[in-house]
Amino acid sequence: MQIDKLQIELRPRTNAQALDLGFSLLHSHAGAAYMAFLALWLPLVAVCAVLTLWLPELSWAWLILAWWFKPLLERAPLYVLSRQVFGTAVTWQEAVRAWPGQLGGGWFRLITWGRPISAGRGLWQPVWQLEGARGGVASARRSALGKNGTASSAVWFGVVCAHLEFVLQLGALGFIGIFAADGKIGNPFMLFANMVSDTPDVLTELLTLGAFALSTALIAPVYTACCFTLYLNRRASMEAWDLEIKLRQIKRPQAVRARGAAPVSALLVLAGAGMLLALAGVPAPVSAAPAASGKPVPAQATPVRPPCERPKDMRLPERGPLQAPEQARIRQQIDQVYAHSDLRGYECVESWELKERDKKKEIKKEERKRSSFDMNLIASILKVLFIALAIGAVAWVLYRYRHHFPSFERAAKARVATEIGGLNIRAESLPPDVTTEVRALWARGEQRAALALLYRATLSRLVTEDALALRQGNTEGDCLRLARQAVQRQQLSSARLEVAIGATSLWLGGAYAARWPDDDTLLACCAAWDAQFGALRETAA
Amino acid sequence: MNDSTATSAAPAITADRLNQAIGIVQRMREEIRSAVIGQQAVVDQVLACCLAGGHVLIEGVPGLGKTLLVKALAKTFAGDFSRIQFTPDLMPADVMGHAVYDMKSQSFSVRRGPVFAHLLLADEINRAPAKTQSSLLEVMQERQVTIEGESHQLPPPFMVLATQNPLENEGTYPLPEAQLDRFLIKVRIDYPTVDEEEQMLRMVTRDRVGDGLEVSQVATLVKPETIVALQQLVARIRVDDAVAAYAVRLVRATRDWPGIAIGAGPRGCIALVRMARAMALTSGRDYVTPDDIKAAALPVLRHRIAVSPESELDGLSSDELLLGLIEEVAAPRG
Repeated sequence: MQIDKLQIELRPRTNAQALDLGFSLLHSHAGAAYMAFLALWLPLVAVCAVLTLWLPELSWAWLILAWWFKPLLERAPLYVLSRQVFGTAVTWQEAVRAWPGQLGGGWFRLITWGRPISAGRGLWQPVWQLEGARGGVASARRSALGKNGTASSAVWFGVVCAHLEFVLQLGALGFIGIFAADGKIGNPFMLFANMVSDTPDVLTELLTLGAFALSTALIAPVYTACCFTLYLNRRASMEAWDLEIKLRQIKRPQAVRARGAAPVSALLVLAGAGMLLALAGVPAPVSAAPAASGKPVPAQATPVRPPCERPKDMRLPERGPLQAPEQARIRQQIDQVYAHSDLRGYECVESWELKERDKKKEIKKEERKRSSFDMNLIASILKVLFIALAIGAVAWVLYRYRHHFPSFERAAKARVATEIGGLNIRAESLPPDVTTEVRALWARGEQRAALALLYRATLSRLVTEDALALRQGNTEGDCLRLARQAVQRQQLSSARLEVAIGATSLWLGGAYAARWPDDDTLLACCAAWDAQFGALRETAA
Repeated sequence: MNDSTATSAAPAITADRLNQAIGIVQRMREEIRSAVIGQQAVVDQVLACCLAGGHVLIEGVPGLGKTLLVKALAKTFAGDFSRIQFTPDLMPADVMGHAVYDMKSQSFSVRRGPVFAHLLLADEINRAPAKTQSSLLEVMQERQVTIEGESHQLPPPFMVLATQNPLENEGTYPLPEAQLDRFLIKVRIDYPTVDEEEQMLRMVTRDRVGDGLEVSQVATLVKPETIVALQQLVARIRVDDAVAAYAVRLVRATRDWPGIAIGAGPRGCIALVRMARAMALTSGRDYVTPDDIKAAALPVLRHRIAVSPESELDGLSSDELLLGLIEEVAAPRG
């Protein structure tokens, strides 16, 4: 393995980034990797399909068979990718031919006890296949590679891939079911409902196997590639591959430079000589004359930069008490050295600045203050408005859908009616002595008015004294039904109910059939009414 | 409110005649209930509709005793019963009958269709296209059939009991509004209660080979002429002005009630009063009370209104809307 030939950009990555790198790797070499996997996967699926046709009642077992041997087939795309990543082009045919030789190491684990729990196997496959580690060495390598959350990432990625496979499988089945199922059946998966029945349908079993084969063919190379890059990333971080590669890249240009040093030097010498010849014909610059005459060079007219002001907050570190006189001298020397500006960690930056800048800054600050005040005010107003709007919207929604809230309905129903069908049933609307007034009306021949008063007074008593909840739309029958329910709840006495039934009956016959009772019946009803409702009213009063 | 009556011109019903009619109706109801387990409200409403001279539209899933109900009703008055299974390829002539050329007599003779009966069960009427459904319009309204230009009167009493599957089912054609209006009431048959279903199971499985309920135990009480007489009696049931006004209020309220897109028409008022009269008789009265109107409102109005799309989206049915309306519209107090 020559890591300087690595075709991927190697740098320290998180596990998630390393997994993501696998997609890019697979994308670059998808053809060979997928073909290598399919060349092995399709024959296995074909075998399972034949077995399904032969023994359809064991179709579930053939499905598991394909799933069980899948890890061994993943070594073909891994072979392709591991060669490609180090710059060796491998065709899928070569990978398939090399596949039997790649099975060594871990194969027994992968097709026996380790299979059901091998979600993170993608990370270990390179240990067996590429490193050729076996037994205790392989175990130690797996332990080292799995640290730092790498094993956990591989396992979770395996779980995600398994779910993705399942979802794709369901999608494929649903897609088939939509077109193949009876149009009356809304559930496309009903086509596959017989998979759990005693008499399996071979076609649906084959379709299920096909959906599984399709989803696995799509996902398995992805899983292999991503786990491989996870493995590479872990090894790179463990063994500092990135540093090694950088060092090798640095070394190479020096060698190149050494090889080409002689001609370059010759060219530089020629160029230098040419420049000297050219300069010989050019008048000497003024500034160069004194130097040529050997006189000392006066100070140049360059502007003298004022020294930067030292930061005020710079303090020397706290020191303990002096332990020896020598220590004071050393400290003084240290302070002198430390006082040099190069060791203070500050630099001087010069720039042009307008003279009016300070004034403008102040004006801007004032404007900003003013504008911020205005914005705050506007924001406050908007805040109140939005809150009011939100409350209004909630209130409107509650009102609009009030019928969906049972408590609201109950509240509405709980309202006690004060008028029913045009009859005022308020207690204050009745005469002080109801039956006397009824008798008087009856005696005057106002039969309807007499019965109406008697019935209205009955309802009024039931509402005001017995808390009978009547509504506008209640008929005579509804009122009696509610009264009977009140009796069952022991909210109303049976005797009062009987009087109410009698009064209602007289009222119904008179009002809707013009069938008036005789005097004795009315007087008896009035007496009963007095006994029940009149006495109670007085007690209540 | 005065005490004038809507049928003041009609002669009063004597007590004896009323009691006799009430007795017959009560016994008919008991006989039908002996065959049809449960569904008491449906039995009462269908019987009342028969007495009102109307037609019934029954909605419900198959197997809830619709045919049994019709057979039992027919048997109580020795009526002729026929059943038509409506299918997409059913033609109007299959229902009405048609003229057949007789080679021997060199003339056309009329072959009467199944519609010539006292009780016609039009099973799954919404499975037939509108053309065939409409063929029943004349029959239901005029109680006569026209074949080759010749009218044929149907024997009274004549009653159509049509069943329809819920419209969500595929392969159904919604009944046109004109057709719906011909039905006096629309009843919904629901699944029986546990006790009723257990009772039904015992009845069906006791000493029987088949799996169907029978009407052999239903006694024939009266002749078809008696039903006609009862219908005439129902037509004379007293309806007070206040009660009639209540019916009008209810129907008019459907036209501007929130959630109802199309309310009931004037035919709804007439149907409401007709049905209420019959229900008064089944309750043992010769006058209609607001309770009769209220009890008749739901079956009479539920197929005469159209629920607005917004209410449908809210999951409200015509029954729920009507129940709210009935509760809110003020009942009369004479």
